[in-house]
Amino acid sequence: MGSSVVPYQDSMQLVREVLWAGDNAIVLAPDSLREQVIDSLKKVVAIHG
Amino acid sequence: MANQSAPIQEVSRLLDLVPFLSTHSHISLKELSAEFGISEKAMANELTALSMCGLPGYTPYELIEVFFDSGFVSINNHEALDIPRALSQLEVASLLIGLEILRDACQDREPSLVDKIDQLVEQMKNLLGGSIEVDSNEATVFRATIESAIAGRQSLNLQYLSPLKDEVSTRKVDPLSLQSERGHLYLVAFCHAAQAIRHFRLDRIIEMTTAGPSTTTTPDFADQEGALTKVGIRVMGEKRSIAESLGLSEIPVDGHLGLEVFSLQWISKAVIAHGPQIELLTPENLRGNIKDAAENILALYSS
Repeated sequence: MGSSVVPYQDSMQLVREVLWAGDNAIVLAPDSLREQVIDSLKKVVAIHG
Repeated sequence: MANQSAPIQEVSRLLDLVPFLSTHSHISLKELSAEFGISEKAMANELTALSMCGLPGYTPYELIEVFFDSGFVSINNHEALDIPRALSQLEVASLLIGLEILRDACQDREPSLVDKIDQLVEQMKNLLGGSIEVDSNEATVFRATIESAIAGRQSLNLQYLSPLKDEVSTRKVDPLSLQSERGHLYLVAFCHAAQAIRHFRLDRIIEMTTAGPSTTTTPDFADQEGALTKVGIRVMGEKRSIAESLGLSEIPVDGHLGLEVFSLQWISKAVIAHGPQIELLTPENLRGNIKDAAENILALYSS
């Protein structure tokens, strides 16, 4: 597993891209984007629980 | 030779007469009649009718002048009807595009037709007064190869782009059929690597070659994992972008819709990627899989 820096403008779009990658990619920074991904995943769990 | 014609044929002939006479001035009435396959008397009647034609206004200044009393025919004041009655440029262009695609599709299956199509294309390009180049979709070319392979029970080697894995893989497959689904054409084939039926979107096939006679006995299609599965989803987010993302033309107002998908992995990823904007309603076991997958990813953020 490696890390890379990805420039982005639309955080929602990037969250979607990261989530498409499933467990092959996680956001390391910034924290705000990490929180967005985590929040989105928690909602998926809640909806499908 | 018919002396009398149906009105539509007569009008068609009148329209054809003008451009013909504009390039065959002083042709004899006899030759002209023979050219159009009617008697001299009928031709004289039609030339008389032509002399009553012209632009609106219908004064002698606007009417076509037709002279044939001497036995030789000529016309004046005919410029408005000078263009031969033929296909419009748009119609010619449409036919050319169709012929180019047909030629690509025929290359493997009907090579004898290719020369004839080429000749026709050249003639039509002259009508257009310019050239038209058609870059036919690869899918069109592959389709002919696939149909030929199915008919001949041949295997195919594919280089295929998998958007899920974002990688190009090489596969040997035994083609079974072509299916159209939501505007895309799919090759349904037995994949030797997966030992199962798989669906390959034609526009994601990068390269295709025949690989000799098929040697496998293909299992029953309906039992395979790659068959279409019905899923129910509810869209709660911005419908337009989600419809685009899922390749749908529209999403009902209440957000509920049923889909038939080839890949459960794909629909699971789509649901997770859209977060709280999409809920998968059915099948129930897939709901559980999505929840588990989301929890697994969440675990990565807590470690």
